[in-house]
Amino acid sequence: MSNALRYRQSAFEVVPAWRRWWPLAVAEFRTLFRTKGGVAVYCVCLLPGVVRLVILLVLFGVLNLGGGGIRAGAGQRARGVLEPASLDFYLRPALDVMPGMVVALLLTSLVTARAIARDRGTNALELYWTRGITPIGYLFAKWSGCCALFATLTVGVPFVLWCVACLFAEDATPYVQLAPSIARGLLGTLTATATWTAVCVFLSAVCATPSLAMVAWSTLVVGTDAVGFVFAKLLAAPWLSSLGLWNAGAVLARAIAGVSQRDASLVTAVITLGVATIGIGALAQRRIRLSEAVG
Amino acid sequence: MSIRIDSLTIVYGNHVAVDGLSIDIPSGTVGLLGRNGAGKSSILRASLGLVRPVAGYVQVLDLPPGLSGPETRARIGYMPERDAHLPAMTGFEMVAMLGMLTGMRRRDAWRRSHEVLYLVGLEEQRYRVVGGYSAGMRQKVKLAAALVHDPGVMFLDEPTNGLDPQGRAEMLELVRELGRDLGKSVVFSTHILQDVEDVCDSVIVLDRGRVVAQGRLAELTGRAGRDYEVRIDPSSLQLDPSLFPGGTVSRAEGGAHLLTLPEGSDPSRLFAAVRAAGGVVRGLVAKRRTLEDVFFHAIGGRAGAGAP
Repeated sequence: MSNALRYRQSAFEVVPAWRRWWPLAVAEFRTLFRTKGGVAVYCVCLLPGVVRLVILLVLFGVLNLGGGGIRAGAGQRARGVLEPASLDFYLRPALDVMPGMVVALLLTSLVTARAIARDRGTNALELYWTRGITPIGYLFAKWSGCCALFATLTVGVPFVLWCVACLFAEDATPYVQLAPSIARGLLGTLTATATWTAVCVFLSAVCATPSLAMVAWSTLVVGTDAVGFVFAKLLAAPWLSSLGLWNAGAVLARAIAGVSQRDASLVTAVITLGVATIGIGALAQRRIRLSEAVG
Repeated sequence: MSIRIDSLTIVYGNHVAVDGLSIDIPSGTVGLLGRNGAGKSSILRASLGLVRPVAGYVQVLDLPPGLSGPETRARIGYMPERDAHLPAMTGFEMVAMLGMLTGMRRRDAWRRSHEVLYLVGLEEQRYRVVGGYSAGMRQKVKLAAALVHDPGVMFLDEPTNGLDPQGRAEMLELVRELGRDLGKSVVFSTHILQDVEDVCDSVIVLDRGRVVAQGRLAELTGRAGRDYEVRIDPSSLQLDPSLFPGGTVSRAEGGAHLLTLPEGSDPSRLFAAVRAAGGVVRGLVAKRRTLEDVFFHAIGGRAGAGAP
């Protein structure tokens, strides 16, 4: 039976909208960390960044793997390909197909693509709609939570790497001078991350089940990139590779960062991202309706 | 008055779900009855601000009718019929989260989450993931979630769905306490008429978007002394209805007569009437109407013709 003695009255107060969506965004950010498996997945996603960190520390002599000779040799070889004083060193792990897209697909498939489809599966949407949150607030909360999690890899990791470079380099001057470029670069990756997350969240709203959403998102990202690659090769038009969702985001991020890109079309990338966001967003808007709650 | 509905018209596409409905839902525990498609869900949706009526309005408590949906919903507690929970969350987290989505501060939501889970008897299970709860526990956690922000009005949609007899008794006791001890206005929508008889003070019966019966349960069903089942020897003897002004006489099952007299009438004249017709009264039983009788009489159907 019930224990009515513990019940106390609660006063109602009018609150701003952010007070309603903020807890949902925080909960979405934490979703992956609720299980040990989720923490393990996140650690795997951090691996490319950790590898870069080790390379940095070896180059700066902080880590001594196998003695000075080896360090010097590794450093010499590494400097030919990986230059910590260049912006590309920090952006590559986030934007390249390997490892950037693979890691992003792993994370977004498990968190972002499931975010709304999972709520639909457990009828949680009915609980949300009969509360003080609107569909737009709900979508925004889901998007911001997922985007923040994704951005820890695409924005947070490059930023940490640059901070480490500034701290541990014998001469920090070139790294400090890189700050404006780093800021633009991080703005670029943040923009791409926000766009990819929006498309993924909208797709999650469209799909009936979490599994379907995961498959649809992976197919969309890999499929469009494959189509773009094939068309670019067949028609000898490299700019067509920007038809791929991932490639388009990377082109946009590098353009904002001011990195020179060969055979890339910013216009095509923007159109690709715009069509995907608006098109899937329109479908999502039809699926997320208040009137579907109750009954 | 907890909810006032005035000239409400709701249309979905070409289908008119509610047509000019006006009704005052009183405070206390009110049963909302009706067949599928009668308009119950539409009234709940309109009260929660989830659909925009074509005409008319719904006023909840003392709130102005034009108030935005989120602000209205913050004063209403809704327990859905369907199994619904927030995935991967514990009972405590789920209730607290839904409190915060209603606009509560985190500290208040946490405190209230503990309190309402204790109230519904889930204090031992509150740190378990809701996905692993039994059907009865899930119903209780939904009720706790509907209560967390201390709403003035609560809509409970089939709260005893899927419960075993003990779980059902516990849920009905909780619903009873909401109205009696906590002073909530409870709108109780269910297909189980016995549950309504057990816990409700008043009843509203809807049919095709219109109110076909409304009143206090005791008034609607408390007709003891007005309906009688009469057994006469010989059973073939016909009773003359004109002997009972304002009353009706009909044949019941097993050869008995069903006599309905207006309030205040004395049934003793029956004996004289039967004797005058050459018969003898062998049995006279005062009958009490059940809610089921009231319901089917109101919708013009009969038991078995359609579930409420």
